[in-house]
Amino acid sequence: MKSAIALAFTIYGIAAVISLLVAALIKGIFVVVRRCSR
Amino acid sequence: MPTFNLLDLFQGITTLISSEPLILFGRLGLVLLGGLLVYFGKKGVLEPLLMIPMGLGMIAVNAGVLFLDPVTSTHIVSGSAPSADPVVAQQLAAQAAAGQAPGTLFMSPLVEKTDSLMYLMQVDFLQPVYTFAFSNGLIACFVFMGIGVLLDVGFVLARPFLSMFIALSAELGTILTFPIAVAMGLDYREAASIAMVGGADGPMVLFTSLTLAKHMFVPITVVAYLYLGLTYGGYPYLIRLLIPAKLRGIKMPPKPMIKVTSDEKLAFAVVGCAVLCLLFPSAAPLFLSLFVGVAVREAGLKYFIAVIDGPLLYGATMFLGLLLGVLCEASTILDPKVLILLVLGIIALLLSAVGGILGGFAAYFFSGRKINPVIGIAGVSCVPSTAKVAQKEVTKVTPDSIILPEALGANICGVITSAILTGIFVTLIPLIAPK
Repeated sequence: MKSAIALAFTIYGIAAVISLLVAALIKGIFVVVRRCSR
Repeated sequence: MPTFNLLDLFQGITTLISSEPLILFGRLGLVLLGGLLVYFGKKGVLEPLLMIPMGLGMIAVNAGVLFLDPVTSTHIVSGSAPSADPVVAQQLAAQAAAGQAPGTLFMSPLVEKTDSLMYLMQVDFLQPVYTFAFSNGLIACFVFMGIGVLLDVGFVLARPFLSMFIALSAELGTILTFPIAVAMGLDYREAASIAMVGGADGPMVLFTSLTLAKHMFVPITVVAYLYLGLTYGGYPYLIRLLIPAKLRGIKMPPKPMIKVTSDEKLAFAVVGCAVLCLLFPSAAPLFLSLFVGVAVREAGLKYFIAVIDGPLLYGATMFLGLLLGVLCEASTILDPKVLILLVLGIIALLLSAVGGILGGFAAYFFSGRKINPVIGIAGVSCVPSTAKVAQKEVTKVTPDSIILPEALGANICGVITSAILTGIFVTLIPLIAPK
C-alpha cells in the first residue's frame, strides 16, 4: 500500500513536470512562430 | 416423420434453462440492463451514440446463446489460454467435443492461437473487427483522431499554464484511485487501468486496459463508459455543493482576445507530437492519433476532415459500442472484481472533479480572486461536456458571465494530461510489475 502511494505520487510528479514542459513548449512555439511571421 | 426435441429448435431458451442459476440470472439481468441502456440513450441521459449499439449488443449476446458445433467449440477451447484448473480444462474439452458447449456467433475474445482465430473469423461475424481493430487499440485511436479534429487548440495556446495547471489538478482521481485499488486487492496493472477512469477519457481507459490488463479490459471499459455518461449529470450538483453561488457568479476580467493563427496551432501539433512520442513511445499511437486530427484540422484538409469527423469517428464509435455490448457476456461480466471496479470507477471520477474544483480555487486565489473557480471542473477531460457544464452553472448565477474559452482550454489540456498519464502508466507499470 505504502509503495503504491509512493508510486502514485511519483507518477503525478512526472506528469506534472511533463505537462508544465508542454505548457512552456506551447508558449515558446507561440512566441517563435509569431516572431518568424512578422 | 422424423421427431425432434422442440427445445433443440429454440436453443437460446434451452441454454438459458440448462445453465447454472448465477449465469441464468446474469444473462436475464444483462438483457434487462441492455434494454435500460437503449432507453436511457434515447432519453439522452446516457450518450446515445454509444449506449444504443452497446445496449443492443448486450441484449443479443446474452439472448443468442446456442450449443456450438464440436469443431467451432474445440477451436475456442484449444485456441484460448488453458484453464488454470486441469479438471475444468478437461471438462471444457469434453463438452466441446460432444457439441454441448454453449457459445455465440458474435466473437470469441479469448482466442489467441492463429489457426483457431483464422477459423473463427469465418464463423463469428464480429471476430474480424475485434481482432483487427479492437484488441490492438485501433478503434480507440480512430476515436482519438476524431477528438483531435474537434479540438481547437487555440484555447490552450491563449492561456497554456492556467489550462495545464487545472487539468493536472483534475487528475487527482487518477492518482489517488491507483493506491486505493491496490489496497482493495487489485494488482498494479489492474489498478492503473481502473485508475485511468479518473482521466474521464474512454479511449484512454480502453488503451491502458488493453495494454496492461487485457483479462479485465471488458469490465473496466464498460464501467468507464457507463460512468462517463452518468457523472456529467452529477457534476452540476457537485459544483453547487462545493462552490458558493457568490463565487460561481464571478465575471472573468475581460482579456484582449489573442488571435491564434492556424500556423501556430499546426506548429504546436507537430512539436507536441514529436516531444510526447519521444518521451513515451508506448503511447505513441495515441499521441499520433490525437495530433494528426489537430494537424488535419489546422492544415485545412477539408476532405480528410470530412472523413475523420464523419465516417471514421462515428463508424468507430458505433463499432466500439457494439463490441463493448457483445463483450458483456454473463460469464465475462460476473466476475467478483466487477463490484470493486464499480466502486473504484465512481471514486476516480468523483476525486477528479474535486481535484479540478480545488485547482479552480487555487487559480482563483493566485489570480487575486479574478478567475472563476468553476472552470476547475472543466479540467476533467471530456471535450466539450465538462466545459459546457461549467458555463451552464455560471450562467445560472450570472447570465452574462462567459468562462467558456478558459474552460475549453482546461478541457483540452485535460485530454493532453490524460494521454501523458496513460503514457507513464503503460511505460512504467510493466517495468515494476512484469507479467
